[in-house]
Amino acid sequence: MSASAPEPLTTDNAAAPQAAVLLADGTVVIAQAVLPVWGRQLDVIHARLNEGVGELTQALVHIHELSEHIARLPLQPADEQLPALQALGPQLQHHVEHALSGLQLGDRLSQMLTVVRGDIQRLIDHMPLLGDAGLQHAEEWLEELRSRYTTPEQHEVHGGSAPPHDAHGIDYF
Amino acid sequence: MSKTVMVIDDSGSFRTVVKLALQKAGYTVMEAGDGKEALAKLDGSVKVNLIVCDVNMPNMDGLSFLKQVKTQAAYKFVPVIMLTTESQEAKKAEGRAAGAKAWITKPFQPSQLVDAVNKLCV
Repeated sequence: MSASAPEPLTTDNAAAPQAAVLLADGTVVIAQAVLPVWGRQLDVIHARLNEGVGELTQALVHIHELSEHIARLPLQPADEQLPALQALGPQLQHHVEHALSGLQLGDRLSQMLTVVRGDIQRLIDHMPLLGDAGLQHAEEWLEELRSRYTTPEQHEVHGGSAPPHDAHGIDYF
Repeated sequence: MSKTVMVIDDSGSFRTVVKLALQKAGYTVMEAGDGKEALAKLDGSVKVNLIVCDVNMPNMDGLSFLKQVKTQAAYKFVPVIMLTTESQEAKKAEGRAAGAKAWITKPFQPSQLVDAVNKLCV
């Protein structure tokens, strides 16, 4: 799934005077539970972004090197160039596939960000109702957040584990 | 005559990646941005040999699409590959029960997808 540009986060108290506000105890309980989880989700998004950019950069560097190699081929009749060009074909294809594969990153990060953003909005919306929320409520909150994850790494880092290596593959039924 | 694959994903760039891989392998590709649009295109008169479908999409998600398309006589036996970031066993089981033939977890290698399509395409 790819998310379109999200609406700005909305608050009911946007027009409230800019003064110190004491958060209700329940809001603090929920915030203490959920903020570290959001932090870990953002950390894994950050890590995946860096990995993906690195992968794309590497593929593009290889494609650039191949194009330079082609440009340096000696001027010869086309039929004499053919073996050299044919030899480069599979390499070029490999690096282009690598780059296209790397582009899937955008879709994945978009889904992960959409979940975090949605939970931020949920907290904003529920703040007025969290006055007496306790630990049980915090656990329920985190379970609802967990139910919205779509990728393995979101589940893994939810509880503080290290993100997994990519678990991609095919299951035939 | 080449075989036709319908690709359903709300990410246009992702559909492009899949389309390039399948066209290079000799398939004709139809596209839809979500399950609802796909159902509108699959009106019984359109022949497709295989469907590649995302799970998390707006309007109609992939599993809902799968359940609906399998009720149509024209498409009941068309193999469906779910191609998604979802890797939860419960979701896979739901897909399997609804009639999916394979579940590919993103990110995927284009050659991996082509192999699966070659294997399942009728």
